[in-house]
Amino acid sequence: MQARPTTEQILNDVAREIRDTLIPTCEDPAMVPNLQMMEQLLTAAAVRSAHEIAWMNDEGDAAIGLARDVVEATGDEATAAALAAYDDGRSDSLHLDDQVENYSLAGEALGRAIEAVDDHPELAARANELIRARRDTETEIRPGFFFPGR
Amino acid sequence: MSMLDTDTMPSRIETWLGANVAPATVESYTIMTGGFSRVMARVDVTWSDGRTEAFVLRGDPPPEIAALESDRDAEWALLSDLTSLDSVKMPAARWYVDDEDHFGTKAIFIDFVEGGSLQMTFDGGRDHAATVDPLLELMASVSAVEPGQVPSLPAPASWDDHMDSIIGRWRALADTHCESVPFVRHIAAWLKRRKPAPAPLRLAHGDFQQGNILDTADGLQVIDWEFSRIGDPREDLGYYAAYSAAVPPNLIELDLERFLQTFRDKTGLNEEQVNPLTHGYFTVLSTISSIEGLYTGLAAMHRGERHGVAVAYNSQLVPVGSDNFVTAIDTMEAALAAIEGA
Repeated sequence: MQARPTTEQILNDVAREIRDTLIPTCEDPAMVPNLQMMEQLLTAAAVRSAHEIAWMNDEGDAAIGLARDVVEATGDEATAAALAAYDDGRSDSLHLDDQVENYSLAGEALGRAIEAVDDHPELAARANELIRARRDTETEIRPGFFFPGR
Repeated sequence: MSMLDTDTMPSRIETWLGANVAPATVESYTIMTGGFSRVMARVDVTWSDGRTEAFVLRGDPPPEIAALESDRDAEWALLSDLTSLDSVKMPAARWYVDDEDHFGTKAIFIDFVEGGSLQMTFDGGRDHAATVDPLLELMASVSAVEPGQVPSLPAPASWDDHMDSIIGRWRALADTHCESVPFVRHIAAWLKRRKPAPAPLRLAHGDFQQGNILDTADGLQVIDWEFSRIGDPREDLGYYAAYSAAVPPNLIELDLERFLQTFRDKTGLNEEQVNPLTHGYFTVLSTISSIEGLYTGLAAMHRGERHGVAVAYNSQLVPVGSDNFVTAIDTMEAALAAIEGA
């Protein structure tokens, strides 16, 4: 398959076309917010296409590491069940759908771990760090965000 | 057909008005910008006696492209209650078309009021500091409405029941979404741990932000009541903070203490109930209806039931909310740590 220009480059170029050519010449005021949304979505999709598999893997590994420690420290049943679901369902495939499922299973283990660490300050601090790292990644996915049409 | 069908809507409106109100000619029908969740159109009408009027017709987009879901029957019932009550500045509700055969959606006729959104007039240079008082006056007028004055809205049995119900909605969202959402579990766990002092139950607008406030010659007026409920009077304050952090300006940031003092003065709430910490709490709690709607749209898109740019754009808005919530939680926890360490 043709790999260059990369998906990121192609999406960014289409986004640029919308931003620099279509929006300035659009005469329908109701359509401009739609075009602005399209431009932002394409820009976000470009960032995701370049990095999302690596990001999901890194976040997922850290989430599972925490969840295992939480189960060891607390015996929390919901976190243990989420971990078991992850261990049973995890795929080594690099296809995006499979990676997304891995990420979702790891995210559920993280979520359940968060609910179980109130009385464990060190684990709670690690959970907070993971949530904030996730937030930082999401911020990176939406460069130049503004709410069109408001 | 839908309200977006600008070729046929004028004649359909004339038919409905003729049968239900009075004979009229629709002079123009224009789709309005700014309505993220609903379709809104300006309708200019000349009645058979020569009078002219303008209305906003507000209905649902075709279901497959709906970014958010809400209930027109409930919205009409509330608008009718509020129009009769006449204590909150808002465009009056006029008529309800509950038969979808007419316009392809249930739709509400509301008086058209000249003026842009407050967001637009800020963009045009409106003074931020001078807007604090009128904004809080409007917010407090909503918070002054007691449950019995809007019988169309169900009232919770108690403040605790209401709060537990909202926190439960956060948790239910995490349980049912099409992918795991640890952010939401984090928020629900924190909300449960940090529940503040109670306040009297009042009307909460549910989407109180500058895009839903009209800046008119008659002062500020609030629109878009689709997420309204009986709740805690601090919910609209918190929601305003959450929303305007993402879509500035945020007038609270001009002077938080003064803003909260003015809110206390106008609502009669005390300092235990309204302070920077409770404000942070409600900044997170109050967004549940919007957040549920955003996630619902994304899940429906994942299942192939909805499509369109507005639905996809929810994927941009959800992380904005998550960012705001994490920031609010961090701010509040830092303040509590300082208090506990003092």
